[in-house]
Amino acid sequence: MADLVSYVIRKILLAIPVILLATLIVFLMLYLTPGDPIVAIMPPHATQADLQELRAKYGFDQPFIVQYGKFLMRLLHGDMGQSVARSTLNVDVSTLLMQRLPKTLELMAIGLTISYSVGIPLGVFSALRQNSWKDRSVMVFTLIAYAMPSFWLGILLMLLFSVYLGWLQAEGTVGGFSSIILPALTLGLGNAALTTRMMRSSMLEVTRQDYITQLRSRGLPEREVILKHALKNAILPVITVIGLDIGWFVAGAVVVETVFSWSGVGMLITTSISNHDFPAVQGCILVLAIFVVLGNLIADIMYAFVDPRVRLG
Amino acid sequence: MTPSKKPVLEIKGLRTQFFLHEGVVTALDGIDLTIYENESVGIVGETGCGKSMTAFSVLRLVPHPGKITAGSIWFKGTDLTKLTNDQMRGIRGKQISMIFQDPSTSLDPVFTIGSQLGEVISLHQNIYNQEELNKRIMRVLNLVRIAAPANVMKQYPHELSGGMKQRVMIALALSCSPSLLIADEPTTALDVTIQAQVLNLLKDLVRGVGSSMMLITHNLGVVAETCDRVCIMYAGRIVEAARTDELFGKPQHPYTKGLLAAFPKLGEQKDELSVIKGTVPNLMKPFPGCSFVERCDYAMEACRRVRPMMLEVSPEHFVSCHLYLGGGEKTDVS
Amino acid sequence: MRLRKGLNDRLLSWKMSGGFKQTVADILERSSRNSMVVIGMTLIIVIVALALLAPVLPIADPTPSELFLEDRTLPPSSDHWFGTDELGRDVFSRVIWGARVSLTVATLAVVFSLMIGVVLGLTAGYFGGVVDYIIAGTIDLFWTFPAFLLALAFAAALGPSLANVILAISISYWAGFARLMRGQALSVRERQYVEASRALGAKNIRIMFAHVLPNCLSPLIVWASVGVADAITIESSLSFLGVGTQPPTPSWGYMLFRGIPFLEEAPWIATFPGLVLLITILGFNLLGDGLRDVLDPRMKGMRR
Repeated sequence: MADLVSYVIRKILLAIPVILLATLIVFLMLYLTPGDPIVAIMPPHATQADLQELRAKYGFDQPFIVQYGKFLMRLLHGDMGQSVARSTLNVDVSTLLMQRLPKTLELMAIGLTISYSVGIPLGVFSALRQNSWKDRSVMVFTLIAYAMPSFWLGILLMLLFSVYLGWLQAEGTVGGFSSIILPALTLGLGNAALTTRMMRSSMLEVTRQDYITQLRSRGLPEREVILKHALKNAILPVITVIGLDIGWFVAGAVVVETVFSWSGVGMLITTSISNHDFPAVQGCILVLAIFVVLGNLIADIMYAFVDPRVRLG
Repeated sequence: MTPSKKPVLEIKGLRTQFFLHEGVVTALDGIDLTIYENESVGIVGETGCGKSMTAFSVLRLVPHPGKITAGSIWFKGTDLTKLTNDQMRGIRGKQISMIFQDPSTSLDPVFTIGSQLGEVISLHQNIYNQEELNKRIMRVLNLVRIAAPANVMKQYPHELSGGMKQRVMIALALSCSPSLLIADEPTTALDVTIQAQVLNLLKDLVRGVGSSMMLITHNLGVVAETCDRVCIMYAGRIVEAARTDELFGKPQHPYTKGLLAAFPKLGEQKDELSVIKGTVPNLMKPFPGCSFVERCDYAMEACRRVRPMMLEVSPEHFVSCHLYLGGGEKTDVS
Repeated sequence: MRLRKGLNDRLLSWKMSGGFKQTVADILERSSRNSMVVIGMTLIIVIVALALLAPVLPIADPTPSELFLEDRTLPPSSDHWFGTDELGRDVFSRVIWGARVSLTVATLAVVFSLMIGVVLGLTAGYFGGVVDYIIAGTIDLFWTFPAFLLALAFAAALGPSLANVILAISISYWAGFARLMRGQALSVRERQYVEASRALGAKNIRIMFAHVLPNCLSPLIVWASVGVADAITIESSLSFLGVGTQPPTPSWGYMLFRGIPFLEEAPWIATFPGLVLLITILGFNLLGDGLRDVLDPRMKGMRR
């Protein structure tokens, strides 16, 4: 047990520099923009007095380190600046994000569920029938699904379900199952393809191991050998990539939300970019980045729970 | 110890082949082997000669794309080759069990020792009461001389040393008192210092439980220590079989002689290690004659054309070689 | 028939000569038998050829200065193989010119990523110690971030343009290559011929590039191929969101975005670019996967 605790603490400590890097990148973004950085965060119709105030607050005439320090301090207080978009003028970016975050979480949760509940069984199924036509068709299918960029898959599903079949509506967050299902499916199926392949190759590798033959030689029923022993071992590499998966999902969410006009953080980024609402863009990227880091952290911890060998290293 | 004359295992004409893209590999080409009650038989040969495949064939665990294509395996009156997989399951782990060579890859890494032992015991002995089960597990661990069994039960395989893992394997194999224990190179992967310990343990336990043992190894020293009888295998065939002391004292087959000569003996003065020239034949190409013909110093014309039969050259001493036609006398056949 | 025989003979003679030529011949032969490589290569060659030949092909101007709005959203016909888009432009032509954009961006991005990653990775792996610690730490930090988010951040900050997209992707994608090279460098530097080289007084840089790098070629090629696929995905996603290539430059992602409102009445506006996009990405993925099988079956599982 002690080794588990120390592992968790270690991982949490390691996550901190990554979050710091995220803040640094977001901070630097402002300076990468061509022209005077203050223009980007300046609300329209700002007066000279306003500009002076902003300059002082952000410390634009002071050395970088000081500015970064001020930035971090503001973050710790939850201040991510104010939106400069017309429709949300002077609204706190953090407020905007709070409104949108639950919707994105909702979408990702369902997407993740779909991804794993399809991917894992399909991967096992495919591995157990290696090289049969069933296996091959699964492989071809996943290859194509994997190659499709999320927005394209979303459009395809839209075409299929909204336009041709008329079952579901394409846009909006009118609420309920029918509006979340398409974007969630898009996210979920795209990642399911990847999960399936990983699960399959992992199963194939595990079933070749000595201990599987050993277990059979002990007289264990095949069902137990596969579902109890092989599966548990095979699922480990798949769990390691849950962290990477979350990164994929976050990136996918940005695109998918835009396709389906799902008012989550992803959609916010897109609209903010087209509105030149820089503070909002910064806030979104930061939140998403932190999300990714947290996701990785949780995945690492989960992994240690399941695989006892990892806790030592 | 005199083994009784009742056979536990009788393999007759066993042929196991692998059907690959490139061709058919004949891993076992007509094996005849008998193991009696309460005896330990060693199967010796170099890598790739089919020793492990014999073990897998007995347990019907030949990996794909291999199959048993001919012969019968009689175990206590039943032909194992004719059983369904379900029926075989009843035999595996309970009546015939197997220890693999490398203990570090033979245990499921994500389950504790206790749970793996418990799994086998509860499966074969129908014990589901956790307390009773734990008692049995402790008893078995004690049997294999593991100190602090209560701790070991909660540990994972990677936390144990090689020697301890192999003891656990032995525990797993003997936990249900099988009639036949197959040990495939049980000490090869262990430190030299541990090898003797584990071997002795194996010997004692097998005797104590009253099992027979098929000990597979390439190490003649191990055989000398533990086995009552020895079979020498070459390229999927058994070339010589005899009681241990008889084989070491009066080896008949040229291959056996070569093997024994290759082992330097204490006190012997030698400038060079003797070797058997040549390499193992390609098992994909069927050959009508004796498989050792390319490397044999005594090869004759007949050796290329006709496969030698297994003959009893002296009581319980069998050889498959054209040098010995007609009961022990060297005959010149042309 | 005769061409194949000629090629076979050439391959055979290469095989006999041993050494480097033999390795190449071996690889070519195994590649030709691997269906993924063949299919992938074919798809890529077709798309690349079309893209390269775009200026000389007898197709419509993808960015006409004058718009024929009466030709808006025409369905596919013999005049317009893929139909016309919402501004009356020929979709087929825009798709082909879009290929030029995507392929250029992706290839350049991968090349830059590769350069950054290889240099950093080799340095870290070869020198070890503090240098390795710092670089490896940086690699891990960048590795955790989804490349797309990084690219999005940079593209949004720098402003949308072709060059910026290339830059953004390069900065986001190098970690994969660096990781790879570092691992390879770590394992190779312990080997004998490196020790021998050093003993002979060769400079470190020379050792790195002359000895370590050639051995890492196989996984690099595989990753580069997959990298192009990923880069195309990122570029088209960025264009879709409006931070990539700007109109009127044809870009698949952007065309798909513009096609969404017309899905019902004119699905071809989005579908054809989407299909070609899919085929291109698929082609590079197949090539990468297939090459991985051919070059080193032990590399399986190195995805991502």
